[in-house]
Amino acid sequence: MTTGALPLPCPRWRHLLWRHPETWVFLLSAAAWCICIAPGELNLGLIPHVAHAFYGHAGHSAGHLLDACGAFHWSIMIVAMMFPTLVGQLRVVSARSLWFRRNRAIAFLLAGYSCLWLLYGFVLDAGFELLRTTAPIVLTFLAPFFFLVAVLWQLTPQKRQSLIACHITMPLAPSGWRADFDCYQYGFRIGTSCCLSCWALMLACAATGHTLWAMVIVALISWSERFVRRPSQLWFSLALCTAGLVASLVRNS
Amino acid sequence: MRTRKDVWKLPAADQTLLWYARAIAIMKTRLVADPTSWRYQAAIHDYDPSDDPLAVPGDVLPSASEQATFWARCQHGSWFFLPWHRGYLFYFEQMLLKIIQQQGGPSDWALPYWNYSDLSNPKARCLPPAFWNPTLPDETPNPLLVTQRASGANTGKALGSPAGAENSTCLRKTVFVNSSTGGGAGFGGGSTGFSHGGSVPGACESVPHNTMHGAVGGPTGWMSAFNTAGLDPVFWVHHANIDRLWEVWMKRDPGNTNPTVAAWLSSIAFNFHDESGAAVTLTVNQVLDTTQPVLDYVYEDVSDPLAPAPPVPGVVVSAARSAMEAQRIPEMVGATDTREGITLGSAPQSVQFALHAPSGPAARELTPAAPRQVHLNLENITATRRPIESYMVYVNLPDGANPDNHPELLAGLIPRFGIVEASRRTREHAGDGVGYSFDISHIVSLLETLKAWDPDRLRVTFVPERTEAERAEPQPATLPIKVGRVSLYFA
Repeated sequence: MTTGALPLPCPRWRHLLWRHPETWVFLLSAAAWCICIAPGELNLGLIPHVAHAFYGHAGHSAGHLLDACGAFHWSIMIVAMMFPTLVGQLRVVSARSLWFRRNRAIAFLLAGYSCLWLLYGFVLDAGFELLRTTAPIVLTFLAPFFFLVAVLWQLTPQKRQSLIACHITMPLAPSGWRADFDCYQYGFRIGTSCCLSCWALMLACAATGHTLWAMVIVALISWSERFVRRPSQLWFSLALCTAGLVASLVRNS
Repeated sequence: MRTRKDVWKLPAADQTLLWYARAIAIMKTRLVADPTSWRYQAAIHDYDPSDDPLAVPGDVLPSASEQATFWARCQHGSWFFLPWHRGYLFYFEQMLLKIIQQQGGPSDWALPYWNYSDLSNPKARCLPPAFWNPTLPDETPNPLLVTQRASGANTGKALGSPAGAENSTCLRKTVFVNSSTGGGAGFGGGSTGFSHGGSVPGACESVPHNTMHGAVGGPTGWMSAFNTAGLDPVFWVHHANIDRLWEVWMKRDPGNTNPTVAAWLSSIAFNFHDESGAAVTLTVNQVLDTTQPVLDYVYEDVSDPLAPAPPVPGVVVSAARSAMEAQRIPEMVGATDTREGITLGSAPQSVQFALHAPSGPAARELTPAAPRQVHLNLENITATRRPIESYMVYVNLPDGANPDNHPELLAGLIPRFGIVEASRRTREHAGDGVGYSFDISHIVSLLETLKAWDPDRLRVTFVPERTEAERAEPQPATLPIKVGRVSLYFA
């Protein structure tokens, strides 16, 4: 996996990959977005087909919701929406690793980062399944409700604190299994903070049945609040309200 | 245009510092909620309600939203460090000027600067007596006197160490922005956003800024903490000197340039109050030229204190150099593997770690025009509370050797200033501490010449920094700090 060992004839490409060892993560994320968009349907095309086959029923709204929370779908969503937010941490973990370990360090960080998100996805999946079987009518109101929750969460000090904790750095062992473990642990720590920061956003997104528009807007919000230099929680809350409105309109149209 | 003058070179009858003292005395009479008050101005740098030495019962603080907008805004460990402090100083100076004019003082009064790096002045590292005389000439208490300072500060002793007061390391930097991947500090700091925990300060911020903060404040004094630093009048003349160094750096070499990206120039509007207490904003591009409005001031001396480097044939100089430096890709070749970090106390301590042969750009991209650079990085330095020591960091110091006898092995300093604040989880920081990056290329070259460089192993020694005054008298017990990791980079 060592980029430096690849026979790249063009110095420009070699320098680009040396300077940006995280490039493959973005390609992975782009591929995840392609999977979401590929069939050309605004409700995620391919993923519901996979989920339909798995669950064996076709899509009324509750069915869509259940499909949307399948493990595969959730994983694709994490890769597409959340991995790009890690650009700073990916650069830190690669810069703080020995040259030949850089991509390996990134991989362990991503593994640690994804753990809690996947667990969260499974819990959501189970929750939506329970609702679908016991009180399907509730599902109709879930999206606007969770967007409201997300707006309120956006305004709390805990949200800001957890967002800042997403930027944390930590010492990493240079070699051996402890280097791998430290990268994994670093990823887990960031993942925990990011889960805390974005749980409401992702919950609202899932509650729309993963409408592509909702995914795009929520992704833009989560990327922006990670990278803008002075994020305004009020601004993001207003953006979220818009996202919720658009997603609801698209879903009901 | 007003001229900021060297505080040690003011003529005997000069009244710059007397007017400074009188204006501060008036600011101190104002309530904390008044933006033109002494306490409000200090709180702009940082404010901790649990540690406000001037708090009095019945204090009415500004509203929470006003505090969130204007207080605890200082930019450290960031490329906004220099421009933010320039704006901060300018509006503070305007408030003083307004008071001085109202009191019949000079209309061209300007904040003086304290040039502690001046090698031609044997008293450069001492505070001028105006800052520690108990009274003013009219026998009223001296508003410039603060008792919460380091040992010897208020008796005219030299503060800190020569290494902590020198400015040649930062002035020799050839780029403004730090490497984003561990390859060393630039003059001005790293490209950061709203959260800059764990980041490496720029070279000017590290030394002499942070070091002289700690030297004046000592283990427990006001200058050693973000939230109390602005309460010491020395703070403002210290920062005037830091601001001056930015001008010196810009003028000493045409190749030294500020960043030109919008993210730095205009992405953030800093919030301040003008001399009348009205809210104002400043962006970086408004403070780049001190001779233009809004600022309209110059420094008495911005000459280059360093001998100009002789041109080396084949070495790129001037503007192209910045681009070349930016092309360097640092490669980590070794780091400590200490699980719990390295705990530093009041005794010297050493760590060793294995070095690996470089296999990336450091092995393949070396050219005569871009000789190898070696950076010693200290990552995630944390401390829970004060008092703490400042440390001197040596490379390959022999066992049992007296560090004072080996200045050639001194890599840099870990100043106490800012460590505790950067270790707290707050609304601005993740709490992962600070980092420092020292360019030790010259030390490695020296050791290689002396056949004393071991390419497989590096030894780093931390020694508490003590002034002569501090060595002469018992010091309060200090608490440990922790260095998360020490690493070595080739670039």
